[in-house]
Amino acid sequence: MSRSVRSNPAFPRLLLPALAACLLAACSTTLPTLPPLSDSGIEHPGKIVWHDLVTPDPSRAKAFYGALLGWTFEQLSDGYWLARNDGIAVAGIAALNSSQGLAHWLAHMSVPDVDAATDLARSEGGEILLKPFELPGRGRVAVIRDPQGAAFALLRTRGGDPVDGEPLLNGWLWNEIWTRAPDQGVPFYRTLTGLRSDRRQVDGIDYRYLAEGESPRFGLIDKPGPELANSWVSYIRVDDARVAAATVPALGGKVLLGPRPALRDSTVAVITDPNGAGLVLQEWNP
Amino acid sequence: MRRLSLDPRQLLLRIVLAVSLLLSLASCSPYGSLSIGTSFNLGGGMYVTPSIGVGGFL
Repeated sequence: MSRSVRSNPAFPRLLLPALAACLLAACSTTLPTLPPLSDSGIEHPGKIVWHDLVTPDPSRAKAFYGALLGWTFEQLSDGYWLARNDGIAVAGIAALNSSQGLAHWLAHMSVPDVDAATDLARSEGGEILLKPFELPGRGRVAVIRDPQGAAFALLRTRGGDPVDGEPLLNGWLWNEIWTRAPDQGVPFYRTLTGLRSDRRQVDGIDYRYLAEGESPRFGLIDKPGPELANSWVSYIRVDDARVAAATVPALGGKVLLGPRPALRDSTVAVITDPNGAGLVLQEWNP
Repeated sequence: MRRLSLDPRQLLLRIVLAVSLLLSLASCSPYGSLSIGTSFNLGGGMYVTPSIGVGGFL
């Protein structure tokens, strides 16, 4: 038992793989078990069914969204919190391992087969950021970047996708891709989702979007700033955009584009949270 | 080059300590290693485009 370590050549070779395996096994068993999104048994390919905030500072994020939107949080693992809006699961807060990482809202798009969709995305010019993996309780997930650089997640839900309904106050209202070339982005998503692309004149604006039947799922618009990277952007329904935007700076966030009469009659604000994740606040009164 | 000469129990202890350290560093977040690499912040600000906010009313 007193033999030197170097005298056994297997030790150095096995040590690192063993450590890596231990870490992987430990993490795979401690990944959060999430509640299912729905028991509908229905799939809506192309629909954005979930949002996770990936952030280097979950504590600061929780304080921000809790104060701004009234969300409450339940810790499900060391690195994941479930956010609830009026008791209903609305989003996740996921910690980045690196404190230098950039915060980002990650829209999750429903697909019937994550592995097949990932392969298809790659063949259509997309980039795989996280290979498909099982998220206990939630389903199978992958994270990709579209050919224009906008990152989002693919999700095959366990139990089905949430049914369509009226957006709740302080919940998700809409999702868009902000890009320098909306028309060029459409074919990728049409191929990936099977959705039909359409245009609609709204207030004299030619608005591009993809739809499942008569249900619009997400839009594509010219990005409102040349320095902004092509991005998925999600909208949250608020009661009063001016009041909400006014509270953002005091909470550590930034107002990039404040409410103004020229923009939907002062009902919209573009903001970032304290760690730089962008989103839009919008009043919505159907 | 100096040869390592560790008692197996000492080696086991070091492995346990190393694994513990790695576990403490890993958040076990589903997206812990995700690097999107783009920032939403702007140097030059944003300009109003009339299409912002249309989508919610489709």
